Amino acid sequence: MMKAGSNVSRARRRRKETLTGLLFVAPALVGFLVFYLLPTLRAIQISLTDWNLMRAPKFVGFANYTKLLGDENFWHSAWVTFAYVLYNIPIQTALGLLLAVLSDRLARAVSLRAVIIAPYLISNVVAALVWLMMLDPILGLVNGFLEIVGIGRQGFLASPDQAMVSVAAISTWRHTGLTALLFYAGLQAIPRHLYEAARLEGAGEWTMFHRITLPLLRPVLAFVLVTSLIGSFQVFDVIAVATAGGPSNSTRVILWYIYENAFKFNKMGYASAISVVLFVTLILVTLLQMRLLKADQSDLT
Amino acid sequence: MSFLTIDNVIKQFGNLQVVKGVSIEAEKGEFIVFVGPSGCGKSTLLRMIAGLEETSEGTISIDGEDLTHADPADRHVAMVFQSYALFPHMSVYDNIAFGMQINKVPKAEIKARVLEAARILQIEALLERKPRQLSGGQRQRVAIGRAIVRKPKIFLFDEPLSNLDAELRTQMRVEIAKLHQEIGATMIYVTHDQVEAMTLADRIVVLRGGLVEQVGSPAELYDRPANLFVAGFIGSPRMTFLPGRIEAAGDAEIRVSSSAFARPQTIPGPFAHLPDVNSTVTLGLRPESFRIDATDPVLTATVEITEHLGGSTIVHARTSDGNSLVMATSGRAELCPGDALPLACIGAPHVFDAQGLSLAATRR
Repeated sequence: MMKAGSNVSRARRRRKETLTGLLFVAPALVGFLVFYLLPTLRAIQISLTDWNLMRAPKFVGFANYTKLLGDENFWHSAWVTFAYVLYNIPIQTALGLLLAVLSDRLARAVSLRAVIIAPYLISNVVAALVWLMMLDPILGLVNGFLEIVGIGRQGFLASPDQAMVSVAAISTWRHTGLTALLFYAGLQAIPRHLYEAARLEGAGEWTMFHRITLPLLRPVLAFVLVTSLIGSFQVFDVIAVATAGGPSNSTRVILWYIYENAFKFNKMGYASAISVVLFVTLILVTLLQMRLLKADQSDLT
Repeated sequence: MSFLTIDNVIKQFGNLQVVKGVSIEAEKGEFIVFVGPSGCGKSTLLRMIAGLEETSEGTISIDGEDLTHADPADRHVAMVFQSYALFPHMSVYDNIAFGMQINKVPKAEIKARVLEAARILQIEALLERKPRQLSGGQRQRVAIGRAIVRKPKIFLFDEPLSNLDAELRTQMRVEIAKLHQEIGATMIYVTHDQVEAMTLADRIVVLRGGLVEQVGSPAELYDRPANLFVAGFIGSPRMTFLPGRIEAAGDAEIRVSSSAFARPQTIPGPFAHLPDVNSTVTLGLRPESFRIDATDPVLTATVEITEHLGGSTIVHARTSDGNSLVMATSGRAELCPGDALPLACIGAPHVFDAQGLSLAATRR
């Protein structure tokens, strides 16, 4: 009798604990369900239909996906996006790392870090607008300067050859500060004594950087690469403000193509199918990155 | 010129002077310990020798070469840090080999030297492990191994045992002493633990407030402390201090009275300087310089606490004039709190003048 009684009370207590636990995660859980899981499932559902927002959606199976494979515009947008990532990520990461290491080793002033992070405090739209004016072929400050130094005026955002690079440069300008700050925080976790020990052994700055700093920064590097890569694949606002996918589709990235299909051509099913493909691609890329960088292991614990 | 000569060095951090003019000489193969309370400048001094801190004034030379402003790498010193400073992402082997790898020493020689160091320190079985897979004592050995393979002119130890538990600390202390015997290298060792200083050092440098209080062998510091600070800092349990007054002073002997004493005591010379008659002094007595004497006691104290260590007993007592007194006695004293403790002195007490300077020491 006693035993059965204590079992009942234990089960009751456990149920109470589970309930408390659920209450704690409820806000995050509700957010995840309503804003992430539900839209994702809905997008998968819509991607299997033909739907123009006027008539009721019509189930078409995998027709949208098969159409995707032969859609030259889709492949072009995928290529343009890839080029953007290729311009953006290496430079942004290397520059951020350089700034972080320099400010860590040379000048650890708060004011300097404030200047470095400043561009990140501006929204993408404002940054794009500012640079749109600065890079204007006729009235822009940059072209005025280039003419003075004798290089001559450039098309920048108005040139099909330079538009994508220009957009990448704007993004790099805006995000490098954040990357630098993340690396800087990571550098603070590396004990100073390691550098002193290395200096006594005769290590120079470069040796210390690639033998000590870089390996110990790996978890931060993984975080920076994963988040900035996902962000780059989803570039939209700078393009929407600065180029609107042009000139001659040279900056029509995947997200811009999805937007066009959904809200200009009213092809919700097709737009959803592209979204799902992008979603799956990003998951695969992220998993691969985490695996390659052993993101879950830190030597500093 | 000595092997290591530190001449009147000063370390200034902004307006703060941490090392205020220190001169120390060390011979080749000597084991020197810097000891002092925290903030005395001992670690800063060590880091100045290593070149990790810039020397503001004065000179440091090693083996006849002025290295005051030389790069740390050019000083041929190796340092063992309190935190060990092992590279967490490298194996024990790579940690020890690091310096040789970056200096492009041939692979075969690296291997031979790492294995030799590993043999001396008995860490051969750990070479493939990462530092986080090692215990505190093992990490300490790896850190020492990294120093050994460099064949440095001087080994610098910055409180290397502070992060270890008491038992391991004692064990590693013995091993560092053995290591010094085995390789005969010059070692400078920083600690705040006077027991480490006493057991390891050939010579101890006692520092306080950025200045040298006294330099000498452990026995010298124990038997002839130059001032009250050294007298109180060296020796465990601490020296007992009692107030005194000079009754008569001559070159051959002086007579001091104390409110704790039943009668004045005679202290034989020679003295480096003599105090004025009637001036107040401080009398210092080591724990083992008391013995229980019920027939003709010099002073009587009241027992407060007894600590039985098995082979010996430490008695904490209070004198009739209210000063605390510590006595150590071999064997087991059957004393209870409140018991009267009639004591006589073995040998003469140390006498310190009003400035805290021992009468046996020359005035600064």
